[in-house]
Amino acid sequence: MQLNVPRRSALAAAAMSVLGVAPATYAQTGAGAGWSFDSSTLLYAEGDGRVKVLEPKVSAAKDLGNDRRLGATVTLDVLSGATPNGAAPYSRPQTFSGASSGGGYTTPAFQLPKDPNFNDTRGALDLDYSFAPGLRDHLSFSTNFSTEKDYTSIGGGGRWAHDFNDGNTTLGAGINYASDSVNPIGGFHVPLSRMTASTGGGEGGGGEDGGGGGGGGDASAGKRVVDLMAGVTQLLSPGALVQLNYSASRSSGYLNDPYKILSVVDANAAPQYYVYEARPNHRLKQAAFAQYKQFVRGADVLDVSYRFMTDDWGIKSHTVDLSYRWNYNGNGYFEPHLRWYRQNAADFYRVALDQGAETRVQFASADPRLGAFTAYTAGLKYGNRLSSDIDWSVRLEYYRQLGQTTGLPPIAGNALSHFDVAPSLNAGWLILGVSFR
Amino acid sequence: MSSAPNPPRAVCRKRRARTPAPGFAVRAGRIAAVAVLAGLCGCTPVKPWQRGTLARSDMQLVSDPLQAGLEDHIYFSKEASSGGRGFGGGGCGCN
Repeated sequence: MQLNVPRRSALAAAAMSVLGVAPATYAQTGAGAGWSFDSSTLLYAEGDGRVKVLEPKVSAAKDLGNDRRLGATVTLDVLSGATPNGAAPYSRPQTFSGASSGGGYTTPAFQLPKDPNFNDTRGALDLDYSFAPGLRDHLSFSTNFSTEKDYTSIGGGGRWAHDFNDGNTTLGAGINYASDSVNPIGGFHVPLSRMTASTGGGEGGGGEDGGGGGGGGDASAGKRVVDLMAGVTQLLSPGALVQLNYSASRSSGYLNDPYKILSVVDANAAPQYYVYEARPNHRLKQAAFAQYKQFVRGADVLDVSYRFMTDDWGIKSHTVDLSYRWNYNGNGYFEPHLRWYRQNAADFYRVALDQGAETRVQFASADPRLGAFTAYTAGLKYGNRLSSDIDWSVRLEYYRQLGQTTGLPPIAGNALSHFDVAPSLNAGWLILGVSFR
Repeated sequence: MSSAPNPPRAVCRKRRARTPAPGFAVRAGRIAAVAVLAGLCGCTPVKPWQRGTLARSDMQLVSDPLQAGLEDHIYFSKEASSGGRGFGGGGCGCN
């Protein structure tokens, strides 16, 4: 009996990993274990007075025996600081009416316009239940709920894993559905309409209704997301395994950022007025992912992964992630980490619009997250096992995003290129974790 | 490419006597599936008693799920990509 338990635990762990369900319980405990608790807290801060986040997460899981597990995770997410509003910099100060907060603000000359009133608190609850309907199968079901001032999300999904080839190969598949509700502060604005001093749904010089939300009379707008995933995990040797995944995600409904605007500028890049952004009301993302883990030097673990993502907004991205866990003695470890990421801009990404262009384009957004950039992350984690039941860790990471100038409008592009229209982002974070078994 | 080890002969004979042979198409399909998978990794099957290392917490594909969830959220909020490992729950108004 005892011989079977570690084997089943290892298979179950691999199976659940394919499906993104926390496998720690399977890997570390045998039959008859009770509760386990995990906690991780994120402290995140960006440079230039931008976003700061405090995000504690606490998770509890109960091993019910016979490979059944019930888990719950509670997350609190407290954000504050300033975030780019999508307008382009200029050689004179710019004043905005404060779409996300009702409070106006002024950006100094030459600086990237940022809304300083970006603050919110989000709470989320995730529940999951997993079990093994057969010797070679694992199933799990989950539900997720998240709420903040202007956004609510509720969803659920299921995942299935099947072992064969004497447990050397695991096939996994999963589906998730989420229904989100957006209720922006200041209400909705017609996409590509002019931003006015009032926040009550200003109408401007035309523009098309590219989003699902309609005019300023709607209290909220919806968004639905369906995620599908299929993967295979293969044991390569007693110390190595590989996972290959394909995932697809389709969003439909209101996909705009209701607070983001674009500058409408003359040939000298002087802003004439600002219009609200417009994104399509559907998006299909597909990703292929591969991960390889190898036990090395009799004590350490090498982990390398690659992801390619493509979507129907014209964005393609590559992600390479590398970490090395150096278990220097039986209890403590250091884990250096490197990540490299590159994406190109969405088809409708624009730094700004020429005057009148807002009546001719169907979609436009100056959200830097849809632009072209390369990002680097470098970090170090330290962890230690205090006893057989308690371990803790601390991870420090530094992130730098380097923008590439793209999406310049035909007339004002030359003048705009004299400003920093593809700014970089610097961020650092600390994650403190502790687990009790 | 290495093939799966042959079962002991006694078991083979016993199986052939007791159960009807599967059709050619089914046999060919099974052989092809195992051959493709074995060929992809060029590996010998790992026996159950050899899986102690693979059961270690740091050998799991996601060794720290809460940390991974926090960092996935950061990257999802600052970049246009998501997905890969699996999908977490709890949408937010961050992208």
